[in-house]
Amino acid sequence: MTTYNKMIFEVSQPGRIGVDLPTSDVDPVTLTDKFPSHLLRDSEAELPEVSELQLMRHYTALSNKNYGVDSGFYPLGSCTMKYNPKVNEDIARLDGISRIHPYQPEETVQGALQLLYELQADLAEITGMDEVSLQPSAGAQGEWTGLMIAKHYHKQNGQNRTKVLVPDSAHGTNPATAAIAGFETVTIPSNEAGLVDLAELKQHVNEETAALMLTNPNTLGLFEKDIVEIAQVVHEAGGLLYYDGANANAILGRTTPGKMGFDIVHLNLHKTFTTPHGGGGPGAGPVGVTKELAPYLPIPRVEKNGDQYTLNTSEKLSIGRVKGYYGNFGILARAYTYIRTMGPDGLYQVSESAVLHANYLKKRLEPYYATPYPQVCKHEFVLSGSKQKKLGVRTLDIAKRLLDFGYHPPTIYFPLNVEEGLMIEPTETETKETLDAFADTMIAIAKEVENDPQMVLNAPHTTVIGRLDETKASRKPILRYTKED
Amino acid sequence: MNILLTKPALNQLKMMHFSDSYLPRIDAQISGGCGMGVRYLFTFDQPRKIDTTVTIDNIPIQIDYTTKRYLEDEQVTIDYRDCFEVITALDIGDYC
Repeated sequence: MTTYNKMIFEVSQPGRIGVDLPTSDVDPVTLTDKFPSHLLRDSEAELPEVSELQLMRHYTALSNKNYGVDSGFYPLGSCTMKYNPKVNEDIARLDGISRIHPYQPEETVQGALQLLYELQADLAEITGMDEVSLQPSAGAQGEWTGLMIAKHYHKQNGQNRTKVLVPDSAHGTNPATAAIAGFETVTIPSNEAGLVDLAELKQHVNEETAALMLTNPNTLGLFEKDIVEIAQVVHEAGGLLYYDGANANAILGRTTPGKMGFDIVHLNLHKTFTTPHGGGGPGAGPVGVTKELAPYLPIPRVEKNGDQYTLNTSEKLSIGRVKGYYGNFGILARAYTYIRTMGPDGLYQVSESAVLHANYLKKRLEPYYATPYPQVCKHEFVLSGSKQKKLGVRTLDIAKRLLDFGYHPPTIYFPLNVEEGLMIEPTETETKETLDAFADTMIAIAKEVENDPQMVLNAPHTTVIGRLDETKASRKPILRYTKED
Repeated sequence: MNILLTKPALNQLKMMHFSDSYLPRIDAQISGGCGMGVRYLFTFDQPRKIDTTVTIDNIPIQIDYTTKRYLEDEQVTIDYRDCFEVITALDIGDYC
């Protein structure tokens, strides 16, 4: 079944059925009596006709093609593809969590509200912020919510600040978010060490600056050691400091964005806090802010009055609602479970292991791949395929070759300021054996590039579908299946 | 792949001096992250292993394996205005 590559329509045989329906005990209805003729189809719907076993094998084969953290190593830089403990799933499926309704009276969902309230408090402590909203349902929505808070804050203070500064090592969503929130983006170049160039920053910060969006550690996996001075420069100009905390693995329990001087933070619970990740959601991108910005957080907000948990919907300065109901509750329940099962010591261990694993892999791969930023990294690091490029093999080819060995490739060609970049984030949940096996494979590929480059250039060899032409797929997409007569 | 040099591009290239470590190249510049994009640049650098060299009017143009694979069925035009431009049905990349 590993080579099975059919569509359900191709398996179909006329007249074959998988289920016998019982004889109907109601009188048949003629559709033409009930609906106007122009609403009725002219021919039978072309549904696949297969046996139950065929159906089962078809979808099992499809599911076997899926790749996730549960199937193998997934070192996708900037994505934190770490193991999601299954206890999270057990908790999220409890009746008291999965079978309640957002319109239930508050007094009947006190436990759920308590969970949300305590998760807000946990995330506030983890980020060093004063207040947190759990409403945003994705990282990018968290970014947008944060920038809208900044916008309303400046407006309330009578200031028209139109520019958001974004370093060139930022997450790609940052400039897009700034544009969607109605700001003009100003790119701040990195210096030779891969960090924010302070001189450039000072040159661009002014009375038009609404905020600086910063990821720390940045996407090169490097800690912005000048963060205190950066915060000072932005604050002195009246701007706010925004922390993109999508990947917070490196700082858990070590430091907080609050201590670094940030005013607004978003977290991706589906990265750092082990809720399911990939395939477009559902996710959660809570936003934390300082006390000064708390009135602008989305409503409703979960509050505690005495021993009762309530929803506050009447904050006058709030930017309003950014998501239906109270966020993706099932995802929030998973993150809460993770934080509570790990505890402070466990989260502290996360950052230690995440950073150790990244540096271990980096050291093992350094002799074989160029390392444009050789200093100690945090949770991830970026190699360059520039050596291999001179031998006629590109980073894209190396990524494809990794598929032959059963690995999901690292993030490639990002950040954009690294030639032929390979961005590797091993995460804390992998064993040394896994890290070594991956390193051995990367080293073997580097040797193949020297000795048998065609093997790499024509990869993948073992997947059901071989090398795709991504540009043709985007230029001439075939989006509709047409059944052959 | 069919490569066409426009007259301004050819004139400009004929005025340039090439060495073994400085030859014209059509190069795929790939950008990634969550998605993937490919632009094509006209640049100058040293030969890479497994390059294909196409000679047009005595001008050698290098193309690496990956770039060639992307442009295999394409008409590629090299033009020169203030800089070299690679014009394909896919994208336009320049080198100034």
